[in-house]
Amino acid sequence: MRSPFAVLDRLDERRLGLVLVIPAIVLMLIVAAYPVLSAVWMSLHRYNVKVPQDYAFIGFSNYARILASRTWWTAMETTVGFAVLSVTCEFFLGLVMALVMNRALGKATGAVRVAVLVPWATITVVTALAWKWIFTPTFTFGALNWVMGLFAEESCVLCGRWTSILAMVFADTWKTAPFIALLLLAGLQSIDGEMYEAADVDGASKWTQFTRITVPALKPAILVALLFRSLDSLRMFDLAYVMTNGANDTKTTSMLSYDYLIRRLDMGVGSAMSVLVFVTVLIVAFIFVRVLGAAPEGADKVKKPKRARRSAELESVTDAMGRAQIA
Amino acid sequence: MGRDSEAGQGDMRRSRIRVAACASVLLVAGLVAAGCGGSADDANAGGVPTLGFMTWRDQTGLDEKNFRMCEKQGGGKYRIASVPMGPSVDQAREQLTRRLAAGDSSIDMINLDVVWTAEFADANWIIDLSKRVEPIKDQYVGAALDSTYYKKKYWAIPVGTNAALLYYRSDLVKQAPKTWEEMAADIKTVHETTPDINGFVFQGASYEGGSVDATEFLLGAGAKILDPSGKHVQVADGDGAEYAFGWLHDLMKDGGAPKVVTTFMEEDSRLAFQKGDAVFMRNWPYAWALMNQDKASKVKGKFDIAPLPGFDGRSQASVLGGQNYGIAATSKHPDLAWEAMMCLSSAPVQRIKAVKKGEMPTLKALYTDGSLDKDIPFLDVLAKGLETGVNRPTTPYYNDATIVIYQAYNDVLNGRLSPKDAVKQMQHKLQAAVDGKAEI
Repeated sequence: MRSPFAVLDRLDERRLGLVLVIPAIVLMLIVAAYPVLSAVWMSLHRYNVKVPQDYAFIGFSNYARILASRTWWTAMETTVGFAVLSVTCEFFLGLVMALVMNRALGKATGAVRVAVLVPWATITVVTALAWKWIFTPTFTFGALNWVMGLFAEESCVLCGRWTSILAMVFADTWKTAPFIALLLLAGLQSIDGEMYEAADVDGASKWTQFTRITVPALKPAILVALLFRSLDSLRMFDLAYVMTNGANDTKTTSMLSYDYLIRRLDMGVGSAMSVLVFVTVLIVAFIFVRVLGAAPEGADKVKKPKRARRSAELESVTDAMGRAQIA
Repeated sequence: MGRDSEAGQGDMRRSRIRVAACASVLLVAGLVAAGCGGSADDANAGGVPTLGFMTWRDQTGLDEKNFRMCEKQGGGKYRIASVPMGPSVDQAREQLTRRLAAGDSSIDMINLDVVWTAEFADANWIIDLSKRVEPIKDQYVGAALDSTYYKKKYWAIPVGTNAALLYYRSDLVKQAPKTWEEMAADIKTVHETTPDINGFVFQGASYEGGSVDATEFLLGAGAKILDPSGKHVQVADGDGAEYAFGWLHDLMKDGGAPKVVTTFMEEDSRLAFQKGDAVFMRNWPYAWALMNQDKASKVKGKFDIAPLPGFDGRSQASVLGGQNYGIAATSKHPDLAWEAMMCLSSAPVQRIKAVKKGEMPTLKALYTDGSLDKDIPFLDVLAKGLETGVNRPTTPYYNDATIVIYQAYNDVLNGRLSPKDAVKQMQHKLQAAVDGKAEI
């Protein structure tokens, strides 16, 4: 009897490769493309699950309603404010941590790497709850009392808008600075030590070495770290949900879409909000790869055709991602 | 290279391809199956119908005991399997509505919060129980029964009710205040000798509990929220709402309540009060037992309770909390569900729940037959609260309405909105909400 796979034997390598990835592509379409497209489709409708009979195509009305509302722009302000502040803090703190780990630790790095990842590996809801308690000194939970001493009994960090946002930035930095540090550490360790030796011979100062060797060589890792964190923080939900539940205009855009999708079961408006969050994230990702993801120094001199340069950028990004995974 | 070895490599390539192809197909099939699996209907295992009961997660184990007891009483006609929800009211509602909107047929009985009746009835998620409730309705406390009534029909039976109490430090204050104004004055007096203690703690956070407190203050000052038809907002009529918000504003400004109260839910208030950090607290009856038993409690024997005050010369209101049991529209066994519900809300069950969990009974008889007097010494105070008890606004858009209420209230407490602006904003946004056009 002929095997059902016999037909594969007649294909050449390239076609065969394509055939073999078809199941994976189908899977990707099911789990990634379908939900996105269906959200876009739903966002063009008036559709509340509570009243399923009232379902109608209404074009971009949901978007118009959202973009005209003050609530949406307040949430956007909160989200972007949080993202900018948290990514900045995390990046610089992470960079310092990476530099220290690279220089000072030698053989202990393995153990330190694991230790440093503990905050990052803790579930965000758990850390958010812990920080909420710490920032609210009136709570008494035995073990945390000594930490609470750090904050004045009368202060109320989570009572105001920007103090709440800063508290979230603080919690987020605590959690993810180590992650950035590890990404950057992987980058640092791949820099050839001979470059520094050569620079020493040439009499370059440490600062010059840092700006001329370390930073350019680290660029792909920096790009990946910033990209990951920016996208993550623009979708931030859990910290705000747990720490303030959106009080004092601290709702993020993700929380707002959650409100509509889950609490009000309004699939139309909720989906439109999700699509807007998606588009925001997409724009930021595009800016990162396009504007910041310029080719390494020296590469511009050899005027490579645009396509080749782009693929070189992508290569360096994927390279750094791979290294981050290994790390 | 000889032909043999080429042929051998070809074979190897072929078998590798087959393995790879099989593996990738199996992987996808496996993932799809995993995603769709587990939907087998095991509700009828053993021939005895299992009644799915969506109710609060219960850590005491008391609910499970009651289920088993009722199964036995039903002669093995049905089994009860609880589907836990919670922990907060808002989360429970989300978990429930998601299932009901998707038409989950494994749910037969639902533990409904008192404010969900209109929304769930309007969405056709629960069935009309008027015929079954009508003959027995006189057994129930009036205000509790009212919470099951919508569009001239009864949609559930009341099984637990709750009215808030004013807790006060009897070692610092001689007599419980009758009005909120008196309470504010008492705080000032206490502060003269004990400046470090906080005055009044309550629920000021931006969540459902905030709406409950807000409604009490508003109605207590004589304001109305909705007209009886549930279609017209009346918050801005008269000066009640502005008076209540004005009083709250002054209380915060004068240091009568700590700033952090704007983040407080029930448990936060209780912890502050039991730490000895506050003179007055608005809370539900559950706190009474905890503060008398909890090892960490510093106020054992130093506090007392009173009915919730009102505003001087205006009004008084306790907003009722509580639970009703309803039957899901998708239930295949409504008769058995009713039977189980009657058992789970019978006098013995209500009595033990009152003692063990602080869920107050809805059966009138239990307030007068003396069987609870020993375990719940404040029963008469509570009964008084229930007499003047009011329900939160009845509207299918309650979920939109409550967000408007607790945000305005929280903004007043935080000083982000003046009382006047808050009332104006509430009137406007609430009207949009009950019109079904809640602003984004």
